[in-house]
Amino acid sequence: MRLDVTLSLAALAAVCCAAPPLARAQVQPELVQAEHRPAVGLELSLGGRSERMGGGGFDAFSENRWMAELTMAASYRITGSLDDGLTIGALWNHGRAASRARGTDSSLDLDRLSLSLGAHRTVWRRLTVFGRLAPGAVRLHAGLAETSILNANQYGTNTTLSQTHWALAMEAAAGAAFRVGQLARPREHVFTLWLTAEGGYALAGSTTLALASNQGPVPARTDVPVQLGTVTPGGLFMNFAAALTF
Amino acid sequence: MKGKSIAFWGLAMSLAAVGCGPRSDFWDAPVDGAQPFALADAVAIADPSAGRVVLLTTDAARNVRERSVPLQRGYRAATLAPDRSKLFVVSAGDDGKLPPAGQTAQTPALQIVTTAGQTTYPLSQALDGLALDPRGQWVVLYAGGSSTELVSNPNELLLVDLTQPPSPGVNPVSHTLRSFGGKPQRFTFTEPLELPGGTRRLLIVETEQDVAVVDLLQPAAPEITIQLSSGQDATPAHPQGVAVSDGDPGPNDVRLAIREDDGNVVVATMLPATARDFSPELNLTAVGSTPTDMAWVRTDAGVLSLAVMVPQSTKAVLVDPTTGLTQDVALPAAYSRLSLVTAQSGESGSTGVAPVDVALLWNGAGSGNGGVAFWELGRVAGRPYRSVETVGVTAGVVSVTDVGGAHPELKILGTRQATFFLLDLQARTAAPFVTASSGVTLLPSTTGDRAWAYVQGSSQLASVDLVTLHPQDMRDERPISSLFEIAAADDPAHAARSLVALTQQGTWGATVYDAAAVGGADAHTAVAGILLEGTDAP
Repeated sequence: MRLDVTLSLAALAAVCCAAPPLARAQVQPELVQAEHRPAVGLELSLGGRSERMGGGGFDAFSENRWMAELTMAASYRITGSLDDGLTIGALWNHGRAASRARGTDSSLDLDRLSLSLGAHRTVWRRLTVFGRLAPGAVRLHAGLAETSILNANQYGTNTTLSQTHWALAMEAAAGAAFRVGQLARPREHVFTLWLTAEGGYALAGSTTLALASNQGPVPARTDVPVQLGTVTPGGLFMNFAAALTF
Repeated sequence: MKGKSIAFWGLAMSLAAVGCGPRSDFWDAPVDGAQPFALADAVAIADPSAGRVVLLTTDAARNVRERSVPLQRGYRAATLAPDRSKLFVVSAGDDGKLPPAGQTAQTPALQIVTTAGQTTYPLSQALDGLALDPRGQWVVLYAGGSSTELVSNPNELLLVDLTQPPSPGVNPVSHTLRSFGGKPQRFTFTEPLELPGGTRRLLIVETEQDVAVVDLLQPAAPEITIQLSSGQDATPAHPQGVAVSDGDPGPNDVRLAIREDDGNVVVATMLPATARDFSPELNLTAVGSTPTDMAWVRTDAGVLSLAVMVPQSTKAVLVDPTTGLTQDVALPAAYSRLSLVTAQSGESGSTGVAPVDVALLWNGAGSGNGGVAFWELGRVAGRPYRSVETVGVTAGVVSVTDVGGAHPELKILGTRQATFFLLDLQARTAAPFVTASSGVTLLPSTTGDRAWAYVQGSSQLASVDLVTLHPQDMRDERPISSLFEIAAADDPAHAARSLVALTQQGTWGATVYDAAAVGGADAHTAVAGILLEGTDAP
């Protein structure tokens, strides 16, 4: 609110400065109230996420248990105000773990698309706490650049083993958002920049990794998938993001 | 409030610690040291850096199953049993080092791995040399050349009786050879012998300069040492091989022949003794120049003789074990090796009740030509043998491989040239096969009706029908490192068999064919990443 007042006074000063100097003594200053467009109630965020993966099969793709992810989210306040409200939105994470498993290049890509249902409440003038539930679906794509793989075209190279797995997911998180600042121009939306941190837990269906050649069926040949154990694309996670509300 | 805060941060730190642990060492273990072995019903891959043996089995439908058998830490060596029933693995355990964090210390051990399970014999020390009894009863462990011990005694042997359960101090039993400067070079397990004091088996240990005879009935008892010399001075002679004969029925004619590198042969006859059940009586016989091979043979009227190959003189020498008298047999070529083929050649008993042996003569790896010959022992007027019949093998034979199975009369003769021969001992024929390159490896089928041919590193593979002599080429989809024929795990009669072409690229792969249908059907199963499947895999 203090920033809004500051901007209004600045607009008044601008009007005063724009007037001819001679007229300054004769014309009473006109009070111009800078009006802003009403808030849409949208929040866009971009950040990073660190998520602990479950299952021994994840070891083939990472030297530790954590996967780094990019997270993008959009939400809309369906009720309430900036200070208290309920939101609905969508959330997308993309993560990748890559390593070498016994000398073989390995990679595991994760994509999670979730529907987000959240609530927030301002507890201090710059601090808002929030919580959310996010049901969704997660897609895992595991790949190996393994040279013992048969080529359908025996003169080909760079063949890989791969597997794609879809699973239902649900995550719950709670966190806090710190308001960094606002940009308020007359007759424009007030844009507010936030830094958010949240932690939570994600549940998702496990899969037993069985990577097979991605070349399709070959006549007279039966391919045996490479079994790498189970992976559970969910667990403890932490999100850090920058968010913009307007 | 302060207490709650500490509890919160403690919980957070604990969760972080749980989540930040490194992954299993398995995933960073190199695959370089892995080594394949062909069990009768599985391909066993010793994977020492991952601390396991991978067993790859198949069924009649070519379905492939992989499973891991964990090994002790400190892998030293692995050897396959002669009958392919077991894989013997020696591990040093932690061997004085601290075990990995959170794990109990492991001691040296001999692990015997089969598709049915594994047995472990704890050892008193870490040894890396393995000598196996062809009859499957004994294993001898000794300090081989790759020992990493700071100090080791190469003459200290551990004898494991595989028919008995492990028992500290009893099985394995330790036996230190009395040494005069030598250390073990070769081990020979005899068949049961009618020795004075009873039937028993012997372990013959050749060192660089003497031969030790260990009584396997009393493996801890002191051995008999036969010191070798030229007979003219004290210069030590070096044993090059031994041959053992049980002689005729009765206890006093067991003979041990020792081939020396100085042109002599020592015949030790085991006779009754006072201090022990038997003691050797030695007889040194000069055969002219360095003998390269020898065997006990039955000559005329079943008389026992020692046949010794002396290629430097282009002859063989027959040694009478009783008198030491020798008879030279001139040969048409400088044959250096001989194998008795009496039973397979159909000549057994050809002279009535007294058998006369037939020997196959062939060149050793060091010789260049001369092919093979059949030496029919016996005697005819004017010469001490019945016949020496050469077979028109034009290339120097460097290996003789038994076909076995339904065709024991067949042998595959390997040469250095781009050719090999199929020798029929009964028909006395040698069918040549020309190969596209030298270095072709031949693998007889267990059934004996065909042989597989391949070149390491090439994807070319051929099936040779040993009855019709028809070869059929085929091509695998990747370079073949080794080829194995194994029995299907779900077929107790072992009638269904799989041909496994192993490639050692990447983390190893295999192509599995139906051994009976190869050439007629291209259906196969492809396996990749054999060494990649971790212990977490189902």
